[in-house]
Amino acid sequence: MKGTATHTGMKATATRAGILGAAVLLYAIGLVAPLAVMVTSLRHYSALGVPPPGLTVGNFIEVVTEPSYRGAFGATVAMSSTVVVISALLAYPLCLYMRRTSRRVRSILLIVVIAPLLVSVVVRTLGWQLLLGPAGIIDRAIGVTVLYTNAAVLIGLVHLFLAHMVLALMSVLGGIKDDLLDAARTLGASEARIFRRIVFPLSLPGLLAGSVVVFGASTGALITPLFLGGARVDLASVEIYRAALVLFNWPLASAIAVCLLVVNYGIVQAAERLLHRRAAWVPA
Amino acid sequence: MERGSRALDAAAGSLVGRSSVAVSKLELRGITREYGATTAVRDIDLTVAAGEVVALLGPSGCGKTTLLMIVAGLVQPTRGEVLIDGVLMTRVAANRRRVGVVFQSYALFPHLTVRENILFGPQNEGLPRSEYGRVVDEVLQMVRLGGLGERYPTQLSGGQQQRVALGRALAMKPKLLLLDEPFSNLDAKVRESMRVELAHFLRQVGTTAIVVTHDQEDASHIADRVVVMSAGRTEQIGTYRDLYHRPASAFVADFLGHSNWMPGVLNSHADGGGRVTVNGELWTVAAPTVAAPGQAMRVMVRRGALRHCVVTGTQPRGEADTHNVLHGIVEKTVDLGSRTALWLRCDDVLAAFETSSPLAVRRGDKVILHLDPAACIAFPQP
Repeated sequence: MKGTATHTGMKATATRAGILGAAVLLYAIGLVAPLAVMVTSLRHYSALGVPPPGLTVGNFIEVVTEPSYRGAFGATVAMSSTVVVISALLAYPLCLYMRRTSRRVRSILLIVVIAPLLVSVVVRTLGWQLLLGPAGIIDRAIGVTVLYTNAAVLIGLVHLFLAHMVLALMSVLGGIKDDLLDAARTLGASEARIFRRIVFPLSLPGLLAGSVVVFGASTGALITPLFLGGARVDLASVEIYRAALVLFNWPLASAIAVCLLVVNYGIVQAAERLLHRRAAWVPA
Repeated sequence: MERGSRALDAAAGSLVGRSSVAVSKLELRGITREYGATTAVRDIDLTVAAGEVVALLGPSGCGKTTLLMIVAGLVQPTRGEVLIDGVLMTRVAANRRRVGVVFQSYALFPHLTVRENILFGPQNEGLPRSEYGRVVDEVLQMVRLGGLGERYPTQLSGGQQQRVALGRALAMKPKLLLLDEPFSNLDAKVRESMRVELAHFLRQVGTTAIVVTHDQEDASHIADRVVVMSAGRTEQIGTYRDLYHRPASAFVADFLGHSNWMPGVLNSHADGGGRVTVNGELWTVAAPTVAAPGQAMRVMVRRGALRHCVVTGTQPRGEADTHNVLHGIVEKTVDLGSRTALWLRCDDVLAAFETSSPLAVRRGDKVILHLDPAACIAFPQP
């Protein structure tokens, strides 16, 4: 009896180790890619012939000092922040509604939110091109061609990542027990006060998690800015693409990528710190 | 616990002394709540006197929690009126009723400390900041949670969480205190002592309170009066003792205490009593429901009704005159330490009895039981 239990236990452990091992291996390989990027970012570049050996910080100096690159970073942070704010503003009321509505309506809404995730980014972006472009539905309706503007990229990115925000918010808002709101009512709180003191603070972890995911994904998005922004919208991801695949300056592309990683990391860290300060109650 | 109770005395006493607790009277008139085709609560009339503690007792789904939520203002009655101190409150929103609720789940705000939870109610009523310290100290002392003000609810035990919920509800000086299944989240041992403590606490605070429970022990320990509910209706209202000894219906008789049901036929009926033939013997029983002779009856026999147990043929049956007699075969005896349980097979009924005197019988013995007529109550067969 005991032997069997131990045996089963060992087998289960082995299976777990196997599953875990695959994930660890994938991450280990995945770790090599950014490392390769980091090493490349320190190499010399030569448009013609063999680049000189040795390492340099010249690429980074170029990224930091060149106004167009600094502008691209500023635009990326501004664009991604706007995407975060707009997705949050759209997702929050939706999730509040989903909290209160019937299970049936909730699952229908959830399908509507998730369905776009099942369609390829390229197809979705081309769809937006048709809608926003010259002679598109919007153009014909109000006479404005939105395509190849910041607004087009913004619309495309929000559409792309809204689902992430909804899912993150829904998990926290859906987890707030009705009892808590009833308790607040019996303690004399108005509905506005209940939102301000109970619902919103309790939703902060999800709001921050969603924001981090949407922000990170927006900074890295390439197809949407490329297709919907054209040449006019200069974001860091577009610069990386140009440096690597148009100029074939891999060291410079790598340097921009590393800088983007640092900016992203800094913002995620700031969000984490904010979460810990505003939500000390979340069990560690 | 003894020392704790005395400390509680002093704290609660001082609170009452400062008349911090409002003591109000509650009246419910014809309260009905329908959900589509189903009726959760049907035509309930109930008056709770100022300072009285009433238990709503019934099985799950009997509508007792719905009734509590109607009093709190969290559920609107389909028909009927709620009056507090004679003032009509039916359409007054929950956040303007000043009715404190201790929820079954406690419903503590997880992102707020114990102190912030307690202050939530007073803050909604605009308590000045300078008073925060005094109110929190007073409440923490009252529910014996001194020193835990800065903890979060997840850092507290179940019993402590319950006391925070109690303190939070009392901090806003409610007119009524409602408690929904206050012990369901506590394990059996803690439950027993918390029952006594809560009963004591409510008396000391002096607030009018309604406790919802499915546990008769809770009701008997805590409440001045018990309202037994079934299928949305009140079955009977009275002291626990009344309900136990004079149940008005078979439901109440069955729900309170442990009992056996024997089939019988009514011989005669007079003044709430009667003579019923059970297993060929004529029994004297209480019979609260009027019925005609010849009516098929079901007779409830409490487990504690057993007075004597003798093996058949060993004793003349003369002394059985004042007792009801039951013949049967011993199925099993169980020594419970302070008591002995006897399982008796009589025809197709397996009946259980308990006695504190030793039983000299074995499995398979044919025996005669002498039962106390006061513990036998007959109701007509439905």
